Amino acid sequence: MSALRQAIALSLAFLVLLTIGGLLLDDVITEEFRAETEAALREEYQRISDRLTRTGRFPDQIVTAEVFSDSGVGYAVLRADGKVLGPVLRGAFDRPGFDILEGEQLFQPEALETLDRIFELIEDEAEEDDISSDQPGQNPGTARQLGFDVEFDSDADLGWRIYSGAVLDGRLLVYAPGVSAFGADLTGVILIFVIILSLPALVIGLIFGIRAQRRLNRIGAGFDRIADGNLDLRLAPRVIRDDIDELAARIDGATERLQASMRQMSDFSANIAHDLRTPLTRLRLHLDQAEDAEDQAAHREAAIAQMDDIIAIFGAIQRIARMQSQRRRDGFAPVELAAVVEQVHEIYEAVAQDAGQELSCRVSDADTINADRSLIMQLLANLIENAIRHAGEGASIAIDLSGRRLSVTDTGPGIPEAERSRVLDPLYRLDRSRNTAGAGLGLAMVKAIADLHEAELALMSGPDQRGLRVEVRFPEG
Amino acid sequence: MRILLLEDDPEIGTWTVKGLMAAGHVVDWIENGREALLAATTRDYDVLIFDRMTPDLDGLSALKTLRSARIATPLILLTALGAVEDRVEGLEAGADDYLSKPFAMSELLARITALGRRGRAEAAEMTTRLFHRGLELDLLSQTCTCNGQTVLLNPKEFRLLEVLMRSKGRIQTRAMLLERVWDINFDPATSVVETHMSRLRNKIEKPFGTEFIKTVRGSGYMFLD
Repeated sequence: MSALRQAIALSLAFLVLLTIGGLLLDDVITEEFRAETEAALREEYQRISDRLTRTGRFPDQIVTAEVFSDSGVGYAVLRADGKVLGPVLRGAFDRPGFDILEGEQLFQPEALETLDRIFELIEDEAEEDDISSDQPGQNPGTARQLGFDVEFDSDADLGWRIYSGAVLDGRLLVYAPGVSAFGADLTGVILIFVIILSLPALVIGLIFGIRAQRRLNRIGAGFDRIADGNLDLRLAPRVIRDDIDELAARIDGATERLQASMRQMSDFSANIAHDLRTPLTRLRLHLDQAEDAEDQAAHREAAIAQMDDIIAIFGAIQRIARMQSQRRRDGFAPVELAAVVEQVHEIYEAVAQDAGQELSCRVSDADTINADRSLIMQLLANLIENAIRHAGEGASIAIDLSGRRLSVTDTGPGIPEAERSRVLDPLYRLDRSRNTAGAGLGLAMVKAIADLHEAELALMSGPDQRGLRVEVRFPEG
Repeated sequence: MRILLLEDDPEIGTWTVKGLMAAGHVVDWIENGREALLAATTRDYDVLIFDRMTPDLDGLSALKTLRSARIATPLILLTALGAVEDRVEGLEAGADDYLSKPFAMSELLARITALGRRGRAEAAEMTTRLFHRGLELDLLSQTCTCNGQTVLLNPKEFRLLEVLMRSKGRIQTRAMLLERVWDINFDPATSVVETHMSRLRNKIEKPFGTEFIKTVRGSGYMFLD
């Protein structure tokens, strides 16, 4: 269930981050707003105090309904005789400097009522604004009295920020709506956002998680069946879209190779059993006859020769198996192909001549490749020996090296097209060569060596559709 | 020669000891790697023959221990694994030669003789001229003369003759010649050695009516002393 868990975890992490981000934003905005309000209060206080100082006396009256000035800040005065001008309670003047007060602590009851009415009006207007925001409000006066266009809930607990100090022989107090109202509101908004976002985030996360999980489960189940021996099974979809498909395709590739080598292995075992019977039967025969024959020495020698054949077959099988099982490329070093070709040509030219054949060699633009020198030598030697053995007297054999392409062509009877891929299998032999020496391992060895070097091996007809041409193309780089 | 044989299989051991003694060698046969290591460090041998897989301590580890103790007695490693990598591993560990099972007694004897003489032959390696009964090889100019007449040999024929002359009087098996002359570590299915040998003999023996090289049936070739 890891994909599902991951999706849920990711969704939750996203939500947590969103919440933290929202709270931080809230904090920053609140702080900013508070500073701004305080600055406005201080400025207004200074302005009014200057004006009062200039006139030298307090005004006779401050209208209660005029809660706010144009700047969004209202003010009240406490005269020396103890009379309050403005809609404010007497107690609000007690502390000098900044303070935060509830509406009930700051305003006289009738002023509070007026305020509530104003807020109701603002709310109505805000609703209408929502419908036609371009049109100016129905009660522009009232709205403008507030001085700013932030909407807020009238039920919200309004904290008021005040600033008071001594002016003339009395005290001056300025007030403005505090930030706590907006702060509370913003937190609420963020909370709502988080809740609204969390549901789709979780749902989308779940959908992706479940889909990924299902595909992984399918691959897992398929893999179990492959492990149980069902090597025909393929897991990848036709179109590769993402990493999971890629993984499935890789598993398919591995299964295919496994299937191929399993098939080869079982063919191989059957062939070994079949082909070893011949030399073993001959060996038995010689040992049987040696007992009472006059030419004991001859039988003994023949038996040893048969035994050597069997040992050679086993040796070759062992080498092929090792090459196939542990793809050891540790011993690889730069090998000059031209030098190998020259050396092998030198070795076999005389051998071919003695068999009544001609071995020629052509090298052009030869490359140096990363390879196991002795194995490359064996590959080429096997191809040439194969040609010498099967091409017949009078045939000509040509080694051709051009760049990274190495080929051996003979003018012998060739191999029928249908059997060309099979002759690369260990111990496979054409019917007509059943009676010639050899165990059918030469080409299989060539194949194993080519595979180890990741070289391409191709069998084709020679020039004029006669004979056999075996081509080995070593990879670049 | 004094030979130490490390081999845990009783049948192969008996057969090997018998073959070596028949050839005139003195053999100590030990079946356990640890004891063989002890014997090799405390007693004096001309050649050591170690099987790779032995109880207590395997032959390869015993060999490595010997070499790290700076004991340089020539050693032949025997093994049931014949792949090239095993060969390389054995030789890198300090073996002087390598023989995969099953092997012919003649092959083992030839290799032991070659190894036993190596110490003494080392000085002769420096020579630039090989000479025997009118046949002369100049290793610097790569020329061959017989009774003063120049014989044209191709490089591989020259090398073949050089190897044979250096091991005068000792058998060189087919496998040894393939390794030393042609650098081939596998068993070719065609008669590579025979072909080249007959060509060489046609050049140095036929025209002069002398027999230099003897074919040892079932074993290999020998340059007559």
